[in-house]
Amino acid sequence: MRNFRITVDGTPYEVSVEELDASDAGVSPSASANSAATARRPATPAAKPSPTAPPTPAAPPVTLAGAAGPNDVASPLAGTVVSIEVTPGQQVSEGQPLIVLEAMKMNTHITASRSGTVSAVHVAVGASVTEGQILLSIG
Amino acid sequence: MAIDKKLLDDLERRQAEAKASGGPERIAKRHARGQLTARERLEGLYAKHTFQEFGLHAQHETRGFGMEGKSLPTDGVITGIGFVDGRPVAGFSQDFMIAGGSLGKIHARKICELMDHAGRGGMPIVGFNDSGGARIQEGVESLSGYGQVFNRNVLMSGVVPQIAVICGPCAGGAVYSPAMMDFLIMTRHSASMFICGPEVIRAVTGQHTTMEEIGSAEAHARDSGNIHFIAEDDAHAIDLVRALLGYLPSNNMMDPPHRLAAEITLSDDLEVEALIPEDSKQAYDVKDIIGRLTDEGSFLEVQEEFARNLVVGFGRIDGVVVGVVANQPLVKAGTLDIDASDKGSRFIRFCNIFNIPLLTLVDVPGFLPGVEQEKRGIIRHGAKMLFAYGASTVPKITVIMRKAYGGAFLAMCSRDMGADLVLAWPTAEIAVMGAEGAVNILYRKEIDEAEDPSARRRELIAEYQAEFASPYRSAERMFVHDVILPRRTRAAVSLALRSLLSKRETRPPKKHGNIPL
Repeated sequence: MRNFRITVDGTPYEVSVEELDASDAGVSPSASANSAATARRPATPAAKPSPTAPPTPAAPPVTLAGAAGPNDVASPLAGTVVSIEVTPGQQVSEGQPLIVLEAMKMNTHITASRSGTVSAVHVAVGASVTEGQILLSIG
Repeated sequence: MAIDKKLLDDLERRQAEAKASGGPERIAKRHARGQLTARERLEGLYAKHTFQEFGLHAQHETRGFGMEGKSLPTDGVITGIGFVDGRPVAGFSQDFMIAGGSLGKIHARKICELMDHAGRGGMPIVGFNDSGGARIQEGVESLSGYGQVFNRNVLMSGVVPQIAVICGPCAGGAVYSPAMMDFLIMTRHSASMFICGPEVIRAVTGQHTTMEEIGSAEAHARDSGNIHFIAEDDAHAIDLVRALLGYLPSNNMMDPPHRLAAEITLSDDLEVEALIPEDSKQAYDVKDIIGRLTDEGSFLEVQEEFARNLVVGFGRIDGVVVGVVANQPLVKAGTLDIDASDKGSRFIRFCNIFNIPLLTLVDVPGFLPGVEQEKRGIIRHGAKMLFAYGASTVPKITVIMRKAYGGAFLAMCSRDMGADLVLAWPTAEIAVMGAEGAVNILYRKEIDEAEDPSARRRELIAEYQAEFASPYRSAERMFVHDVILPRRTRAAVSLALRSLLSKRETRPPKKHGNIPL
């Protein structure tokens, strides 16, 4: 059983997810059935991809708007990616520029909120991003 | 025949007992944790020997639950008047070492009587909150006590400044007295504030959370916007109260404590021009501009970590106290969103109540576009900015630095919203909407029919930009009073402030406007 926090339209939901193989089907796992967290699982919004996410097939599921984890760098506003200053595997220090977005007639510099290694870049130059979309992750 | 010494000794003994609080051991423990006692907090705030206490000998009236005969000196709250920078300030300080600082009937009455006194005398109220909450043994008496304090918070709101310091627990209903005051200061390590704690939230909703996430000073400063300042400790909190009081009048009938410089600075400041990037898409830190316009070191930012796309705070310009409201291009492109509108409008209204002139620095590309913003009500929240500026009768000076687009520009105190003076820099772009959007609407047909539509579109955008996104169209029509060199800004604002200090504006009598909340 693994616990996740999923944010849908700004409302955070705590969900517990248990992987069941075929032989377990139909057996009620008592622990999760009694859990209040499981009862509140918002299955539909979590399962379908965000309607505002770019419809590129390569887009990984973590770009679901608003589902930022502690390692993710989310876009503060909707805009277009002008440049990406880092590559996966690169060491970054706090305050270092990561991505430049153009939005509302302005360039917005996204900087690292902490030091670490860039584990993934989820967007490409020229891509349109939505508010809260995960731009990259720092491991 | 001198006075009977026994009477003097008896009084001194009673005073010492009432002031003993939790006793030396518990006080030492508190000090070891870096916390001051309730009494030390008030003594730290006031000039030496100026504190006049009301109700040192007060005792509780709790009955039942074995409370009869038990002594609760001061009933867990110290109240009185003292002087800060030569001006009287009413203060109360809850004593966590007396019954957990819990609020009972007499405790509440002491706070209420102090607030009444402050209202009659026209002096600010400062409350140090450090309490476990309602005194359960007193039941509805305690609940009623909270209600009486709340009602006085409302009565005094807009009459005298009210400042709450949260320096211990503050939970449930107890949060609403501070919440209705003008400024909340919270100490970083020892304070918490919440309606329902993590355990209640987990039991009722199943959501897992921590005090850090929902009740800490950081959470309230950054996420909820419930507080205005974080203090590192009690002593720092006291410094912040003093600094804040330094900009505020004692009551709504007085002017703020201007310290008018004998001479106005009229020289140019070329450094302002060095701060503005050549490329209008390049951001800059508006706090650097504020630093150049206000007297050195005088800017006290309010709600620094919340809605950082709008900067608000107090400062002085050649000694005149001003409230500064400025778009921050570094964050969210300087757009106005829901949180920024809430933060800005509340600050503007505070300044208006207490006769503090408003200086508005504009670089706003618009309201923040987004589904979330629309769904959560950017319409009614953004309207607060318009409403707050429109309803303010203090001197209002607006400087358009760069972008001033559409309704968001009006929400930053345009001339039509009652600005007394609107100045624009040559870099100003004042327009109803961005060039791209305007060209798409105005020239749709021409672009579609062009041989190379995208080239024609680019051409038209450049033309529109040059023609309309400038300060001169507005200056021709007197929507701005003057276009000035940025280096002249401090001198121009300083002159305007001096000329507007005695501004009076009367409005039709009414209970109050209906600001969209």
